[in-house]
Amino acid sequence: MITDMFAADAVRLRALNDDGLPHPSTHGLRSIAARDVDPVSLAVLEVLLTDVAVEEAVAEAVRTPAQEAPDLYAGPVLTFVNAGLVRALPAVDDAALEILATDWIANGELAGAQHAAVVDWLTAARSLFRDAAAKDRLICVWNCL
Amino acid sequence: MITPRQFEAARATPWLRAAFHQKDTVEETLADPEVVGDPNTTAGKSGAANLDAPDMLLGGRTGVDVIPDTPASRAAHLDRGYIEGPDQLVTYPVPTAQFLAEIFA
Repeated sequence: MITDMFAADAVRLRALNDDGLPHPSTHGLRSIAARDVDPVSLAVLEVLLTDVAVEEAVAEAVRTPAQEAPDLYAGPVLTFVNAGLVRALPAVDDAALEILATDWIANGELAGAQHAAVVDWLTAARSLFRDAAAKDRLICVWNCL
Repeated sequence: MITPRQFEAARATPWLRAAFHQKDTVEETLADPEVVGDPNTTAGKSGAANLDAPDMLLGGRTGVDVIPDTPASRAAHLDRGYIEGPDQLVTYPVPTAQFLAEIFA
């Protein structure tokens, strides 16, 4: 599954949603391109960084507030990255990020992914989260089969 | 293989069933004896420099994605930089909601 992550304010997010959720790049929103960084994978990442329970993290990560009846066969589904993860990742330094990547892969949801590729994704996500916090933007994921 | 956490999430959240059925379908395709026995075909993730890798590589260069046969998925994958045309897409029929519910019961 394509799982491209991006930041947007409420106005641009509404415009994207009103337009039928095309890829965020069509609305000038840069994204971190990825595959299979699904809501459960993101919830596990939050669990590795915070004291949240996995059930709670998953329940939050799978919500689709912008869509009443999400259907991946009909089109993309928008999810939001949990606020706890958005707060926690920016505090992780480079050395800890390497260990975090190892631990995340070991949990199984990212099985097969290369460590360097995961570190690169985490580094990009950390930068996106820092910037979004400064600009009061939401972190979203464009999920598409 | 999807993890027990992914299975449980799909059981509880209907829209996720398509996502994890997709993941299983890709892995089944990669495990197909014809694919395994083809020295020209490798899993896209192996050796990928980033997390945006195609499902398979032919000859180490040409990306191939396994997708449901829907307009949305065709359009999305044709927009990826490593997919240049529809001949690089392997499609499977869209399963029914009932079938997915039985898988994730």
